[in-house]
Amino acid sequence: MMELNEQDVEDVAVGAAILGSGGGGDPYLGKLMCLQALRRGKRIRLVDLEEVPEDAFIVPTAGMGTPIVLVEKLPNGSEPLNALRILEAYVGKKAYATIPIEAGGVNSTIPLAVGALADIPIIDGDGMGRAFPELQMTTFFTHGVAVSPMSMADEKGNSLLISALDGYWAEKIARVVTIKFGGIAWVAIYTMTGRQAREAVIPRTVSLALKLGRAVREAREMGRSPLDHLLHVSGGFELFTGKIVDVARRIAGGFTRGEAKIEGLDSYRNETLTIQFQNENLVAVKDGEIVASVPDLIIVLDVETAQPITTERLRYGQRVAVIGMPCHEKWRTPEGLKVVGPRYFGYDVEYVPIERRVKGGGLK
Amino acid sequence: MAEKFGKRELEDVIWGATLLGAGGGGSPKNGLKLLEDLLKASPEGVTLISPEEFGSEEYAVMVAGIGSPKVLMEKGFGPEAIYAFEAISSLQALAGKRITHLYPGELGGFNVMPPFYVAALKGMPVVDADGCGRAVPELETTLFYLYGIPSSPCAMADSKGNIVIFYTRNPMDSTMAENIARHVSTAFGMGAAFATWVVNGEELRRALALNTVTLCRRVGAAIREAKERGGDPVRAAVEAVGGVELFRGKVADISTRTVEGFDFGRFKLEGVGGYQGKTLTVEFKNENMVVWSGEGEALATVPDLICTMTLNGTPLTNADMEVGMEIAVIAASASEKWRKHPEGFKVWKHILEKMGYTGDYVPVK
Amino acid sequence: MSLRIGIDVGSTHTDAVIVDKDNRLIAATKVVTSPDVTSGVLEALTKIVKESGVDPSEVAAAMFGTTHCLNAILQRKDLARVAVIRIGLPATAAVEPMVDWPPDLRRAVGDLKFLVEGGHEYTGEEISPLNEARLREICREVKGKVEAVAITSVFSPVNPDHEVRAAEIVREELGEIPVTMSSEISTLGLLERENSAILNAAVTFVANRAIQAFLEVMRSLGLEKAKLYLTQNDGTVMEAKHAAKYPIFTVATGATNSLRGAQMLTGIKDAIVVDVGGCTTNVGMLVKGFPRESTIHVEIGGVRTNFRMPDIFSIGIAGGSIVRVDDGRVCVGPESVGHELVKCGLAWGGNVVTATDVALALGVMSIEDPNCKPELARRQLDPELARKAYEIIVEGVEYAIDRVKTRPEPMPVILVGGGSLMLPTRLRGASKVIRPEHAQSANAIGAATAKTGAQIDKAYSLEHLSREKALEDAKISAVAKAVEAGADPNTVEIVEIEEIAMPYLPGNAVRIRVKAVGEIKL
Repeated sequence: MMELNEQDVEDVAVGAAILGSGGGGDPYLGKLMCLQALRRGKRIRLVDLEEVPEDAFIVPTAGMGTPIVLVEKLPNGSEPLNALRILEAYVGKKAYATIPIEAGGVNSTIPLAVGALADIPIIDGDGMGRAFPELQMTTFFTHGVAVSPMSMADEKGNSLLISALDGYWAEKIARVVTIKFGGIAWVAIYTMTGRQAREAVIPRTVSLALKLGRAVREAREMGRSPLDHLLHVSGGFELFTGKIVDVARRIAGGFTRGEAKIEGLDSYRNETLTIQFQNENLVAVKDGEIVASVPDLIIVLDVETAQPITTERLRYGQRVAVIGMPCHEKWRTPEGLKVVGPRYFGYDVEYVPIERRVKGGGLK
Repeated sequence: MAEKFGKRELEDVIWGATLLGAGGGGSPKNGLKLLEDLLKASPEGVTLISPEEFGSEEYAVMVAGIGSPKVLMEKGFGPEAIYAFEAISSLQALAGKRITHLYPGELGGFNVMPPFYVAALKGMPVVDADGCGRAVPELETTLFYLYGIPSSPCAMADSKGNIVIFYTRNPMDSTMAENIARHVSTAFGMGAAFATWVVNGEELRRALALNTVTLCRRVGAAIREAKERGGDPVRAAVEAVGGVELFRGKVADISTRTVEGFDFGRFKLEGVGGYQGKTLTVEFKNENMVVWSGEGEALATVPDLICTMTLNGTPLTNADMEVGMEIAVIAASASEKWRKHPEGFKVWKHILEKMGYTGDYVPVK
Repeated sequence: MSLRIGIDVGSTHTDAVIVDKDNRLIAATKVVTSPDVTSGVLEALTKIVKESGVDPSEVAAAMFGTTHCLNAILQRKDLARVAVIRIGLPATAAVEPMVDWPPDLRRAVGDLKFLVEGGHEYTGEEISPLNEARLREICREVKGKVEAVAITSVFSPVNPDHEVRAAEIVREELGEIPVTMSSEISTLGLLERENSAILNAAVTFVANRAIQAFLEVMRSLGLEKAKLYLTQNDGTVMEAKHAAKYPIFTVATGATNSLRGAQMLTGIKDAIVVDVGGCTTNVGMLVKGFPRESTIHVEIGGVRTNFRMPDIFSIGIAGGSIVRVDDGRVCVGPESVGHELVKCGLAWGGNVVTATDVALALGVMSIEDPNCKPELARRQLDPELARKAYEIIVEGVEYAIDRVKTRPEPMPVILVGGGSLMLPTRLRGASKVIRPEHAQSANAIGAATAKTGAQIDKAYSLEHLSREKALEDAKISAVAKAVEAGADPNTVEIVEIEEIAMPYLPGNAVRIRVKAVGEIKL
């Protein structure tokens, strides 16, 4: 068990933005919820998967709905508790802990606040190891954890429990209810036992985010290159450094798809890297050859500050470093790749783990 | 006294409830269809017990349909009621309340039936009481609301077994409950069941309209028997409900309008027989709210029951009414639970005011 | 009655100009920016009126671009104590106002925050009814303890009713106190809009005091007939009484005035503008004659805000930048001697190597100042060091130009500002480099020749409103705001309409931003 302080929360938010691999939204709101909770004497306790009892009742939590509503109609703070409470009432068990569904993006930090407010620990792990655009893109799903029973709550104190036949119905109902709740709902979903969690959870991703954020901050404080520091602690690979020379975007099926062309600088002079994205970065192609693809993480960072740049903020002229990080083994199974592999996103290519693509591996 | 209600009794209940539905309460056609299914599962029928027999430590719940009547007619109804009942039962069981009985939420040709259907399939008795003593247009115009029986938590289900249980912040906030329920029912394709208002014996006796199922049965039987022996079914109905006959006439006009987002309707009768030369107007929001004489005098208002049936003895809902039909309008006193409660009229006022009625309660003698 | 005075406060110098009705430069002057800003502005004003010898009664308008408000925020000085009222309960309680503000700034504005029931959904329906009784209670509680009020209601850019009503109640209870409504400051994004509103309320004090000081000196100089305007972030000006209500719109005008001045001096409407000052070089882009605005959150004094700001890329390389050798590596800036250049620079007999000295030593620029002796710089500077340093200066500027561009194609680059003479006439990424006459006064000229205008940025739910109606409403409010800001109604035109669809939002919502600009009404 480990407790996070205000500085840790700041670091986790930075790390979560990095793990967002270009998408997932801003961990800012969850961070502020955490800071407020800490200042009111609440505790953010992180528990390792190993410490979780077999029969523990684990309830992942998240915010769901329209991004613009999320930044405008901020939560009351009681929603996740209400969602937890009715789930507990329905299942007849007390929640032992909560856990993020995604390690990157907006829903990475919110469960930390939920745990603090509900006075339960947060399991150091998640269901993506990064950010993905859809709720079924989790290792919870690929390991057979059912979406429902799930619960939802609004800021007014109304709450609702869904026990659906399958994910399709759960989503259909949840969508309608989210609209009724004013465009945003706070959900508890994919409940599992400690035993299931050991199978389905990608472990130690909250502490990974913490480590990444801390590396960036400490490097800045010491006047060192945050990028080198980050590569060192992340076990990632530097794929490219260059200047963005073109960004093209189009809206397709509710998602923003597009690509960014980067011209090499320094040791990458005369080379070109193209990143294709759909909310998150999907593949990186160097001179016609794929150098990294989903589900591995492709992260674009400001070359000076190591500040991650989300796909919607990519623009001409930015000097960026592109790094790749291996995804968790759980995504590299046939079941995992079916849900988040390159083919799911429309690329007719075989997934090759990044460490094999980056021949020789290691730092460049 | 416990009594078995079989085919004949339940048919009487349906027709009696159609009359006491006061213009609403769902189609008796759907009620009869559900009865058929009920009898297939349980040919001997359902046990009805009197409110006095229902113990203070026992719990009963109501189950009803929600959505569009058209969808109900097309898709049928049944499994959703079972799912909704099971969901609320298991939830309450975890809270230490074992549900062993059912009761209707309101009286009406269809709405009286779902609890009987569930009771039949679950082998449970129905308690002789209901939540309104009539049919009502809103969750706020119920005795549950008046007597503080919370509508939250509420369980909903569709015929496939998808279940939703919701809680409103204020358990008495029936407006919010209704709102959420309507939204969920759209996700369920406009046809769903809901189960809520769990009561124990003490609460049931304190809040609900009592002995109303047997009243429906008596009314239904009286009409049936009058028809069988060639008597006047209208008079038989009036006697059975202990009400007054207000009018007999031909439906001259049925119109609907929208006021501040609410659909209101109005039908106009031209007198026949002894009422020749007179007219009568009834305003309804789903159920009949106020009846005006041709001279513009309010003859009866909610919460009293303004009931309609054809002169040849078929209780009628507003949805089934057609221009040219010859019908009777009967007024009956509302349950004591309405009349004795200081707010028993007030909860209806916002509807009446939109219809232009700003006066006081006009009790039916 | 046709002259205009323009004054622009920079980090090192305060510039003043007088232009005639055809925007021809009549006089220009410059003084060192004073620590309190006001005395420098007054000195510049006095100087230009006296030196130019113009008839004060001929001056119709004085436009001031000042850093009063920005400095107050950065230095946490002279800020009003603000009652921060957020309307949105039961929503929003999980993140109180000012949670991530730097503690010193939070204290400086009083740290008095209140949450009240009310606010709206994205559809415009109420989250809960406005709790007026609680509002009155809060007013009684803060009476005498605050000098301004900032009101932010959830989804007020969609439906401002609760903010408007709350402002009425505040005025009823507290009398004439500056009240800022967030919907008048910026757009969706509750925390950023709230922060913007709080900052606006906090600087009303400073802004008012500055305006009073300006007016007094204008009177004492005989400029009784001249109307006072303040320049705002988007390149237009607003009348003083309007500026007193929306002072936050003046915090980024330095860079903006230079951009507008560059446009005025060259007639070019689409170009990159490089403004070289004493401490920093600001690079921005002119789009259709106005500065391109930033689309991301801008931090001011450590606080996230979301009101419209010019998209400026700044580098710490400018005229006064100190050149030194660190571990064998040549560095330029970001430290600067600022206005002390004329004391410390090599060419002025000092002993600090500055970027200007480098340029003088290499002979790429000359300065008309009898005290400036380029040979001093030439003699003391190692030519290799000078060459390296100059390379760094040019590369830095070229980098900034590239960062401001949105496409790789070369664009015209306009060089302005006191230090701009040190830059070469060829720059990478530039189709041509233009160094207009009076480039060193571009900022003050930009102020003096500004039009007036306003913009609105509102969200509309198209559920009960047609798109045409929404656009019409947005245009009408923008024009009304422009007139309120001092525009001649007959000349107001819509210069920009931006329609941003809000995906994922049921009910077909759209954000409309409209900018209206007109000639100032004299």
